[in-house]
Amino acid sequence: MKRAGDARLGAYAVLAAAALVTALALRRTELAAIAAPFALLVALGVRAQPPRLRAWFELDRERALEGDVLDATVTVRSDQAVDRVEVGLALPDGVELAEGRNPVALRLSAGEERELPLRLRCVRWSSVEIGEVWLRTRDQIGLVRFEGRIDRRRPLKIYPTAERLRILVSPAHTQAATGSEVARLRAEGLEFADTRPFVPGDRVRTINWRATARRGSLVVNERHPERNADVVVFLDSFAEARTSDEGTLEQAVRTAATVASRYLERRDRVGLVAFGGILRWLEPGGGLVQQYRLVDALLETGVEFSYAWKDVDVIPARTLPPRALVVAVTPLLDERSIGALLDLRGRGHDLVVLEISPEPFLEPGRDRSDLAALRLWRLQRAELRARFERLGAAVATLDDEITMEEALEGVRAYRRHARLVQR
Amino acid sequence: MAASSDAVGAVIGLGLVGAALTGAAVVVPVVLGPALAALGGAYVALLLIDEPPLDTRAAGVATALVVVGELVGWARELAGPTRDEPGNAWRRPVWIAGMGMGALGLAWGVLAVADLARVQGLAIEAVGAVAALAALLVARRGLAPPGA
Repeated sequence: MKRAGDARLGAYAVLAAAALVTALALRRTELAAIAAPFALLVALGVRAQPPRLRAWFELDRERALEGDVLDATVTVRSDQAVDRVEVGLALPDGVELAEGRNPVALRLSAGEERELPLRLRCVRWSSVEIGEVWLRTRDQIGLVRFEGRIDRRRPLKIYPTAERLRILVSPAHTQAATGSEVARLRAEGLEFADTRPFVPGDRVRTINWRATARRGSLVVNERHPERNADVVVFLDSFAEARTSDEGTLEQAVRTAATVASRYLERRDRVGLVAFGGILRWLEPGGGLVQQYRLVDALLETGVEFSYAWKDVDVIPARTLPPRALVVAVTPLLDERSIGALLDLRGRGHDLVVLEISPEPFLEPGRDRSDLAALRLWRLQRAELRARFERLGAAVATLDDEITMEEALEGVRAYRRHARLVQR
Repeated sequence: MAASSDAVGAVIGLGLVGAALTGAAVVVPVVLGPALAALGGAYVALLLIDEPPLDTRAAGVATALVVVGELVGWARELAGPTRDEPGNAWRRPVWIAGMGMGALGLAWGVLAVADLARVQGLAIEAVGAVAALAALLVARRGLAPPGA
């Protein structure tokens, strides 16, 4: 344990020395009497030895959702009697104390073991390590402190809570496997598509008897099959706008996790491209395992500062299947990610942009020039959105005033309109 | 007369400076040394004005300085984020009182030894007090039940 003198140790030593010197200079015994208790305290403090302390940390689980409360226990044991030992658990970002005392001062007798129950609330999604216990004790007089840290860290993954989302953006193209998306092509399925004259080889069960009776010749029903789709969540982590406790990246990860989990529930294959200072990717896949993989990859995402210019060429080709729907979650702040998205659209990818608005995190100035600059900045962003829309990529802006569901409804409406224009 | 009032002014001035520094020491611990030195300096100035043969108030001053130093330390602990377990908070004031008593006894002992070397007056009283204490301890031991 690290040894450190309290401020009183130095003060008492200085006072004792000064009083003794003054006693000699003035030939006054009284000052020696004043110096005596301080000199004795300093002598006792200097001789103090650190006690032998041990600590352990236990956590009831290693995975949690935002808002969950975890049970943790810090156990402290001392081989010698300690009058006062301060015990604290270092809490990482995203975890706060919900119940219990942290730090707390304990009195331990020789060989005593004490358990400190704590309840910890997971405030923000993150992948952290928790369990660094710090101990601080002092000698009997309190003039010398002994401090130490005991590393009992273990990983804790806090997953973002998925927002309520009933509708999703339908991809323009579907894949061959069965899923929940009604495909545009006509084949075996549930959804009625159209009728056509009977041709040899058609099943009898597909005959539409009412239409047949009306037309006088055999007519069969055509249906849309239910297929799955490939969806790639494109998370822009080049830049973010943030205040001290919240930023666009937090919202972006939450949005990406929500979108990915909803598409996976529909049996679609979902992949991830975290496009930023560090490029992370996950090839499209389906199922619960893929969901855990995706969320784990999202938790690792952070804004890594980089000057390197990156474009879509750095993304592995298999990560972006040709007929995949690309859902980009971005604050539209960095030219590199904007350029990459425009490039993706230019290469024919079905693109939807979910813009995490940086405006709630801005504190614009109040003078006229600042307000003019803000208006110009807003105009530039509006022009950028219009540019995406001119290329056929819908842009939905997510902020405090609009829910994801409302934003996606706007995207769906735009895409219906865009299809009509294409025809 | 003017010189005397100047000296009293110095005592009061040093005392006030000491008090102010003591208050500041709760926030800035480095100031504790100068604070105690200023308070002790006020006593030295008083000693120089009165010039008694042997001032027994020194034991009280030593006690007061120890208690002030410990109270500042306690105040800093209370200002920190760490809270004592319920039932343990009373231990610190008791400990400070005990340290004050110890400081009083030690300073008194030093004064007694000095007095013994000088006129033997105060030392005889100290020896008498120690003898009385010893007699009390012996009596307590004698009255205690066997095996206790």
